[in-house]
Amino acid sequence: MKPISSPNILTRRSFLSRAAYTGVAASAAAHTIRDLRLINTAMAAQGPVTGYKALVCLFMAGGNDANNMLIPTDTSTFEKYTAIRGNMAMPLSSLLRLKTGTSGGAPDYMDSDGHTLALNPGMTKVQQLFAEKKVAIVKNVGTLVRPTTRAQYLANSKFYRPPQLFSHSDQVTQWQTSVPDQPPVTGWGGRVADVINSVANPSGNISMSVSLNGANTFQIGNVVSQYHVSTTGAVTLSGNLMTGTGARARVMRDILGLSHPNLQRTAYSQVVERAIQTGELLNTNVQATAMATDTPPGTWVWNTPFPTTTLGSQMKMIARLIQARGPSGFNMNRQIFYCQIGGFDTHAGQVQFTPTFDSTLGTQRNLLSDVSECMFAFQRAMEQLNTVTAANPIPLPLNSVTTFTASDFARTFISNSQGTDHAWGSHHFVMGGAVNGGETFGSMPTFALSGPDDTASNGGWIPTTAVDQHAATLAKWFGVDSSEMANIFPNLSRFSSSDLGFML
Amino acid sequence: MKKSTLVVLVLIVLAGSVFWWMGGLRGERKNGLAPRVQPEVQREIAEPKSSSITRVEEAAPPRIATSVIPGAIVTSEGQAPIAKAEAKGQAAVDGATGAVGATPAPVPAMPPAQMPPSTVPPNELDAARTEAEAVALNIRQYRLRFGGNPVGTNADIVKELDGGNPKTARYLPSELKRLNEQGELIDSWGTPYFFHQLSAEEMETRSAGPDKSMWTSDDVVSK
Repeated sequence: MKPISSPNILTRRSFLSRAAYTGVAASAAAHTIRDLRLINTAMAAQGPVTGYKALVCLFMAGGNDANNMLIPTDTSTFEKYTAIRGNMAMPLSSLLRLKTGTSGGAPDYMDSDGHTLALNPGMTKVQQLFAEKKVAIVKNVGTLVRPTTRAQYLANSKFYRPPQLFSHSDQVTQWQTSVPDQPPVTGWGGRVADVINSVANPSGNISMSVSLNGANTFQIGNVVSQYHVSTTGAVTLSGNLMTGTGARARVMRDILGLSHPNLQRTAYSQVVERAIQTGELLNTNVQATAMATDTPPGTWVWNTPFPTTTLGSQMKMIARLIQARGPSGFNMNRQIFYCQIGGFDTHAGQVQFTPTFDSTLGTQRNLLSDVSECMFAFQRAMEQLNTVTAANPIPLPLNSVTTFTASDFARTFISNSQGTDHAWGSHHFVMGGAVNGGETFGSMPTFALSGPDDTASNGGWIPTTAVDQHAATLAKWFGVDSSEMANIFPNLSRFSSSDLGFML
Repeated sequence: MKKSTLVVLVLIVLAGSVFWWMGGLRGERKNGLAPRVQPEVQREIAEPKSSSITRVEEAAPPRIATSVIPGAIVTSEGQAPIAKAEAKGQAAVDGATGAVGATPAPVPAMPPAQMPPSTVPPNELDAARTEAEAVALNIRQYRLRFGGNPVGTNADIVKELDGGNPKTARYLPSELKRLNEQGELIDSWGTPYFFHQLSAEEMETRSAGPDKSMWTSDDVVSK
């Protein structure tokens, strides 16, 4: 039989190939349209927001050993702590007891399970904020695919265990997406911004999502892009052509303003011009606090100095950006900030070994001390912005800004002799005027190796509170409509409560 | 029909058409054809040459390059050939037979801080490094097969490598399978290895070294 040789004829293989491409394209188009519709629906469903609110994520990268950050001090539990933690255990006398008030005679705080609690000796300032009821603690929170018991975890770990549990980068991602069982696409902060930005910031001058530590998963959204700011201000295009009001800069602006027949060239011009404008706007608006030397003289003085550490500089810039939030500045009603401190991966050197052994000193104490000092300075800065001055004409309501900590995971309860290894459920702080402070939420794990909360026999606690619940509580306070929660936190319905109660 | 629904349908059809056309183009290029086929190609369409791709028998188990790294790869079942070696030093796999070739894995140089104490015989340390490298290599093979590292404690990871995976494939050959009572993989000094899980694609295999204390300068580390 003569072979078919028409150039227009389709072979079966060719047909199937083309059909596959078409199917993929149609499916992708349908999904994109559906996603855009969802976003539009979400935006339409989102009710109006009032007043100013900001969320600040303080990420402790590396996996903080929360077991030595929050320690139960009631006799029986503390004995277990000492016995199991071995050389990581700190003496009771060194710990900072949580109190129910600021007065000297205030009784010890006791949680609903009857535990009295204390903080790492480096966290005196957080101890103070807890007593002032400006800090709450969420206990044993972590990435969960679904509520999980030890029996379930051991019987079917693949069903209950978040993918790549114990791996740094995966757990960071899962904490920040709050969707551990799906490939990461967006962060929960980004999804919140997608829903709320158009309603809250219709005339905003900068992105709703600002990062002080470069790119992060938390703030990735479908619509709102994260804007990266350094600790000294916007990273602007440099050179005489790009900045200032000189003749060359004006000419450059004129050139950028020209219309081009080529659409790509036009888009490029617009991006460059917008970058210059945003950078200048940001730097101009933080100028009032640019001389924030923390001590007089200066055009702006933070009453409580920020530590001169990397985290301190990041949080100081966040405070300055919040100060410039008003209509004459960024004109923002909702903002999400991200800052980060690293070094918590304390497999070794968690406590001090040389020149003499001291479990109350070492890497983790230094890091937690920095976190504590920075949180305190930031909280005091927010309170300072509540007072009207010439440089701060619009008072910031005391319940406007909420800061929360997060980390990859906690660390094993047992020591590896030099430090501790990767684990799971962790304790975290939430700070601000809107926080139901001076309280703890969730429950402490049972300190028993191979006990009811242990994944194995090393004290890697199975979380009893999900990141989804933790994040949803913050999102609700931030103004996200209840009808949007399922879109932002798709796994939330698997858990018993969507509001943990730590926000007022 | 609502106007918006109509627009959506038109968009889907449009996207489909474009990709139909692109699929055609790609198929042509893939076959070494210029768009809108030439006469000689028309003949090829009609009388396709026999495929140059050699079919690989799924059941053919890979051969192990034990002369280079003892116990580098062992699976209890046929393993599909791995097209690309993930990193330099990884055992190469013959695409046709599924056999593991003999590309030696270079032993990583230890930084000065990790120089072993002079009391430890050098051959003992060399053996420990080779063993750690072999464990890491097997984890790498597991990762290539299952799309990510095994997860959990030492004992969990051993279980997963030793057939406790969906394919019941074994990545822990007998010469490496030195376990303690807890089912943990131990090094030649009797200390359980530590598996530092950095990401789904990256895992450090750490032996505590001759001092049997983890995270000290004599640790033997392999990725």
